[in-house]
Amino acid sequence: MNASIVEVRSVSKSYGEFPVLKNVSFEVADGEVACIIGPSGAGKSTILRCINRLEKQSSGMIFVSGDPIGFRHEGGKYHELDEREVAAQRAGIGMVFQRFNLFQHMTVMQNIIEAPVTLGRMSKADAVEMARELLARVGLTQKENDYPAQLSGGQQQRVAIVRALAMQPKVLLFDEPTSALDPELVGEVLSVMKDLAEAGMTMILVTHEIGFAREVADTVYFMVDGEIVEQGAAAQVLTSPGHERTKAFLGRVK
Amino acid sequence: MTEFPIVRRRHPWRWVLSLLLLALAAALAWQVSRNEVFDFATVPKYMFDPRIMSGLVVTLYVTIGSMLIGLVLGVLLAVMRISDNPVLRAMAEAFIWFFRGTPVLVQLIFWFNIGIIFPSLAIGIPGGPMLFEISTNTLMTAAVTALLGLGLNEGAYMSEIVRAGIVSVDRGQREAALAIGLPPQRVLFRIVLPQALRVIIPPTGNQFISLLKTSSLVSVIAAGDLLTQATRIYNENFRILELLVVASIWYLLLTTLASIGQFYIERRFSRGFAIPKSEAGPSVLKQFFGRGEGKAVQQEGRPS
Ligand SMILES: Nc1ncnc2c1ncn2[C@@H]1O[C@H](COP(=O)(O)OP(=O)(O)OP(=O)(O)O)[C@@H](O)[C@H]1O
Ligand SMILES: [Mg+2]
Repeated sequence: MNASIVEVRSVSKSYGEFPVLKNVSFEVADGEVACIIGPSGAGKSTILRCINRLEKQSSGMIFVSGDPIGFRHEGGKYHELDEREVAAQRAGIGMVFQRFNLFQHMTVMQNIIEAPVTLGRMSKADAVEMARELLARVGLTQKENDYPAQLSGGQQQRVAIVRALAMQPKVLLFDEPTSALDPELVGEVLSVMKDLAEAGMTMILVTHEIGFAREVADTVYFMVDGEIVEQGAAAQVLTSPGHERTKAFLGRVK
Repeated sequence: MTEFPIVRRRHPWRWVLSLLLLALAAALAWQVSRNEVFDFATVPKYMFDPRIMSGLVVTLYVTIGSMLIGLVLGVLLAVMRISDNPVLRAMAEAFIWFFRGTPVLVQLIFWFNIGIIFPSLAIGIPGGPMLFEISTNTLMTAAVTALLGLGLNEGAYMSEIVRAGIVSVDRGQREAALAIGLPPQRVLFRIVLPQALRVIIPPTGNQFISLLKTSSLVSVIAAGDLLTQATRIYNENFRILELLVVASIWYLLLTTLASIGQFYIERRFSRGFAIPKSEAGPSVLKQFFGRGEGKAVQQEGRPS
């Protein structure tokens, strides 16, 4: 396998006394699609949010392309970064949310070019051109001047994916990207994600779409109560799970 | 095709009430017009008197100036209050506690007399040379005192309004902005505050209108506003009520203009949110006698 893009090492987190993540470790290689499944409250969202430091882990370390997220490694110690420096790290990590979270006061185009332009990644003209190409790829050519409220859920989620892609991230994190969609809109978003996977994008995906995981994922992690209880190649974990909890869970969601 | 002939509801009681009110107003107007003590001619005579005009300018300048101070301070205090820095939070809370807890009239008189305890203000290096020194009474003119007094007070109130606005913005907006790598300051000014404005603007409009009137308090320090000038004139000619009517007409005019402005600003900042277009127009009269036809809810959305 290729070099690791994301390394999660012994990450634990608790809210007060309550442990949400217990010593979680895994690695995601370049171009790999990793899927995290598990029951509600398992800590799936929390681990994703730790990867781009929307949450801070209590212990352990997360590396993206070798950089410790939220820290600077110096003299054998990890020094906590300030918010500006964390923002620079986040720019290389895309995230797609369950509820899209498009900026409501901006058009589709403004949503997409906001970060690349204000962070000085490219000129406005270049950003607009790139946005149009990306919108064409997800089948939304006509929508650049619409406001999010004028789009369907599926269209909004495709725009959200484009917005994340516009930063040319090293890895894309998806937190249940189709759970808030009407069933007939799920397909259009999954098909965009499948295209991305085939194009070699590194992705970590939290989902309840087991069929999609089987089709697209390389590896699957099954989480319960803050722990990864089973992991392995997608086909193996999803078809012949070894752990009782995994079997029970898959039996229920299928 | 089937037709469904519809007879809309009538509103006879609205007409009855309106006629009653009109009759009352006419009776009142007649009473006042027969009153020989009140000199009507004085009102138009002083409407555009140069002193009244200069008072109008001061009222406007004090109101707008202290509103601007209040806005900037309000945003600053609101951001301090929701920051995770406990020192900043405590500072903001103490400020708000003090300025909301004491009457603005007391604050105005206090600032006006601050020269008693601090005769001069100076910037210098302790034990070293003075870089800059000014007499407090030179600096704290009535107009500056008015701006400062009303502005600080307004800041305390605005901070609550701004904070409510920030809290009203969906948490996901902030998270999405952070997730694409925008630094916290940009997240606040580009993503959160613009959306908070929708919630901030209506009460801010009310604050502004209230401030237009509260600014008349600065007449106690003779700041030269509309009321100060009206007072000066009636101290000469003893036409107290007439001059108060002159001032009131100007206050009404200003507050009316402010309400109209508020309507257009509110509409501008609801971009991207579905709002009913048919509610356009600041007037309620339009709807008053209307037969209540079905109103289509449309979406406001256009490229900017
Ligand atoms: N801010 C918080 N404060 C306290 N507890 C929290 C907080 N956020 C999450 N939790 C708890 O942490 C646990 C893990 O939450 P998380 O959202 O990661 O679960 P999940 O696996 O994503 O579940 P779901 O499938 O429902 O999204 C849950 O028990 C949740 O109640
Ligand atoms: Mg979740």
